[in-house]
Amino acid sequence: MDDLDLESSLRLDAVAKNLGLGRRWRGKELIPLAVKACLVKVREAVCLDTIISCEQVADSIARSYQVRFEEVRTPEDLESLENRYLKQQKELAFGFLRDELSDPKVEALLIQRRKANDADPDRWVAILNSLRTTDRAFWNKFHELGHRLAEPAQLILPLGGIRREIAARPNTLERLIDSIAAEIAFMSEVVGGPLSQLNEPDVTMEGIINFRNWVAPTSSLLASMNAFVSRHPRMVVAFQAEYRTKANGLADTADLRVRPQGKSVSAENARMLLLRNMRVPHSSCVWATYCDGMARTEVESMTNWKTSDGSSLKWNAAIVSATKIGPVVYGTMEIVK
Amino acid sequence: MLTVRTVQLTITIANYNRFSEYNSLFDDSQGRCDVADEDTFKTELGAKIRQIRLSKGYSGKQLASLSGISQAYLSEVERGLASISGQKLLGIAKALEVETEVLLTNMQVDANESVRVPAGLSELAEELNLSYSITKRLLESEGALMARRTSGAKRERTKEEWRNFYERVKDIIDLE
Repeated sequence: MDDLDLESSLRLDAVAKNLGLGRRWRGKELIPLAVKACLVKVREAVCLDTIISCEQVADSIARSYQVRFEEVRTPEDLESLENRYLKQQKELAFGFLRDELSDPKVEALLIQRRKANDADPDRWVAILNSLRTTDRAFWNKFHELGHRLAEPAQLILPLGGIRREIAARPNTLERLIDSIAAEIAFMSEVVGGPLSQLNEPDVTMEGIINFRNWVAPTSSLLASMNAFVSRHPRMVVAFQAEYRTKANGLADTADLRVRPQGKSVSAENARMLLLRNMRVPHSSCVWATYCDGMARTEVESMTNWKTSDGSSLKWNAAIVSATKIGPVVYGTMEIVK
Repeated sequence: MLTVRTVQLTITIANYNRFSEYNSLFDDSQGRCDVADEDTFKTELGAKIRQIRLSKGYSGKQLASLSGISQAYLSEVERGLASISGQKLLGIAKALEVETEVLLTNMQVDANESVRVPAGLSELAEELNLSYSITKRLLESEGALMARRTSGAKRERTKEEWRNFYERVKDIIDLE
């Protein structure tokens, strides 16, 4: 069984029931089934034949499930929301907005309107906090839609309680919702064509950026990169690299270090793994990209990529691609046979 | 009133049948269930415990600690997966500050008794001399916030945040 707290247990039971997977949550082996059930719900609700972007998928699901997205980018947006829902509709929960969104750590809020009619298109209002950055808006949309798809609609909440709080360590429920979001954000009907066209000849960050611009222009590069790599037929892993110390914080450990991201199924099956915090060798094009900001793709010998105990990666050569945004390098590695 | 000695609980006659049904679910020696609707009863009982716990703002860990049982066991009880002895039920009822009969029947919990007002709101209500109904209305409004996606830790609102909120909504509440 998963290591679940009580709230997660009860809510996962509700998810299982809501998605027709039984009366109770039986552990993480249900995650693929829950994702599949949500995909079925999306395909029932949305006509994917005419949809060409992931953003359109989000809008269609939101329409079907009576969720309205409100992106707050400026103080004027906030004032407009307060006018509409607090002053005109008398929805008191919107009185919390100003304080909530002033917290830079708050990325999104979902409010269930108390005075909405059954047929209102905005029975749920998802507010995306883009006052400082829009980076997470795309992902947060699909995450909130994941909640709406997986969990039963509940009007009555315990007094003083917020049902869904996603903190620094997401629990099983939130991981489930993220898994659902990852699939519904990049539906195969929408991304399949572009993926097959961009798969050849090599996996590059340029190709991934083209993929993003094609199917999900508002998504973050990280979300697109993970979606691209996880659906790739060959052995590919994705990573980010940042200049930082190890967890112990000692200054002499500062270096360009890897944070593994998504990987393809064949990479997973081949146990092609990058280790967290692995140093990027100075001979790599990833290091060069970090230094001068120029995107690169090169065939590299992997013998210089070593773990802290001195052992090398399992593969000898890979096509390594890297691009830099701000202080972060985004990269992929594809095994060369 | 009728005292049922076997489980040392005091219940009203009106609820005696329900309670007898609960006792009859178990045989004397092993505490095993032999009644067909045991699952239903346990599910209802668990749901009621959970409902009251949430309405009082207790986490599962807190209630388990107050009741003298493990969190894992409380989780099973709330999910209708485990049977519970009278003694433990009494412990839970005491921790929840409700009569045991409330847990054993379908009666609704009196909202006036079950609301846990957060410290920040409580302090504000005292300072501004807010009525109970207004305080409860403010708290209910927070319940419409279904989710907050944040990279930070969960925390309760401060008194000043409740004050800001009250200032924004008081005209609407006054009109109601």
